[in-house]
Amino acid sequence: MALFKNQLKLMRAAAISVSVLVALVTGMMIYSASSNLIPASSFFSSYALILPILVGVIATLMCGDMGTRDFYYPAGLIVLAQPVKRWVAFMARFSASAILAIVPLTILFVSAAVGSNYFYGATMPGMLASFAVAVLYMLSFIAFIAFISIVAGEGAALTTGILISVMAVLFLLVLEHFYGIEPWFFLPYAGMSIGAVTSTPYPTHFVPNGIFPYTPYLSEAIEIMVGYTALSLASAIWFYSRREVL
Amino acid sequence: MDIEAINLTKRFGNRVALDNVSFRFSGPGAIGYLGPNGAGKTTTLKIFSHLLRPTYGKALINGIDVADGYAKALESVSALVETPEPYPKLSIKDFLTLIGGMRGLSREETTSRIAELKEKLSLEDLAVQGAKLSKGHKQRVALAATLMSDTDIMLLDEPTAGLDPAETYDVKKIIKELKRTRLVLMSSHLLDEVTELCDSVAFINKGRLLLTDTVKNVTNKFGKGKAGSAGLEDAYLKIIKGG
Ligand SMILES: Nc1ncnc2c1ncn2[C@@H]1O[C@H](COP(=O)(O)OP(=O)(O)O)[C@@H](O)[C@H]1O
Ligand SMILES: [Mg+2]
Repeated sequence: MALFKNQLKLMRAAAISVSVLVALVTGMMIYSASSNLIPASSFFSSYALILPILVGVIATLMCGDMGTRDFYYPAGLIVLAQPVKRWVAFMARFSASAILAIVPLTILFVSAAVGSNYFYGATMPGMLASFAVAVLYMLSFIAFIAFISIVAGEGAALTTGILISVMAVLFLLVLEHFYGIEPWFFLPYAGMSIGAVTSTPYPTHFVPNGIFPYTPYLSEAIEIMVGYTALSLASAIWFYSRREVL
Repeated sequence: MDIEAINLTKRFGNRVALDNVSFRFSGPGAIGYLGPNGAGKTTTLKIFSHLLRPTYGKALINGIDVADGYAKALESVSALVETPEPYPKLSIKDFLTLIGGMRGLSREETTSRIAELKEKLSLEDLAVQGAKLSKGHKQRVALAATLMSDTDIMLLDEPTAGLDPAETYDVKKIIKELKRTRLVLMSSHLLDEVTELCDSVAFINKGRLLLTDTVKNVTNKFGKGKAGSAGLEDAYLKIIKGG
């Protein structure tokens, strides 16, 4: 519990700056949408497209230092010598980070709702479902980044996280379009369902000649995200528990 | 209150930092852990505070193997190993509150303990962030964190290194007070400090424990009859250099 609060405190500044960043990005998107008079439907879809990228970037910025927090700062010499089980310490930090990361995500969705209501008089359809999927996606991304950070350090975590989220579209294009494989093993593939749930009906799983032939079934996306979360957390805890403070 | 090492061995790659070290100390009292740089002092204390895992052998705290039940074992240990620092972006107060929380202290206990330590260690402004502290000040905060709870066993790694004379005086005073009721194992290479503070000494060099005995016996036997730190100095040179 003490560690949970400590993590909240340590990350307060990061949470605020990421939130401001997110607010700026959304503000700009809504502004450009309104001034170019993009039709509502394409505003929604462009929003849904950019969401997984933003979620990935937020998660990376918030959790990239998970592994360095205790093992590289000299504070770890004291903090890790306290009578607290390592997995408890890790979960305290992880859950505090996750909760803080949901703040900018909420800002993102609320401003999308307000913005679209204001300009188009309608809210993005399936918005709540989309938010729920986005939260789960955020959770799995954070778990994955925390794992990388603990195993390979902050630099590797930041690089991996930003690369995966920013280049996701490219990776998906290559895997799906050119190799014709369903990339169920690639976390951002599940992220596609954040946008997919906003379209009715839910997109067809496989469209032979599409640019992105595959869209994950919602259940499949949830399985991927839950799988990533479980595996990443289990491995992160394994490494966090065995790691020595050299 | 006792700590025991059984055939404790630690290798880093093929470098042997600790080689089959066995000892047992019971408190209350202070034990000086003496040896040159690189002897294995810090490594020993890190294994007892679960910062390192032994390659072989056991580290027992009040009979509990640290490798098996560290969360339980560490309840009776406070360790100040190497030169820890508070988090750069956290105030002194927040850092000490964190440690109090991890030690299971209530909010009131934490607050009163922080007030007490602020006095004892001249911590000045508790709202200052870790990054803005001087070296000596950081070290006093680290010591304060170590003293947040009343544990039976204190492991102190060169507790006065880097402190100015006034700070050193404060720390020595605290150790003198602690050793009356607790077991203090302190590494050092300051012989007059060890003579002043410790009842027994353990000599380690190149990862091997060479000798443990009371300060008195060691100076009598190896110190050519010289009293105090001069005697211990002779003893140190003889024992470490294999004379
Ligand atoms: N992280 C590490 N990696 C490799 N060797 C280490 C590490 N830490 C300590 N050592 C080696 O272990 C030996 C003992 O070091 P240490 O316990 O720090 O000595 P002391 O505290 O007595 O000065 C030294 O030879 C040192 O070089
Ligand atoms: Mg040392």
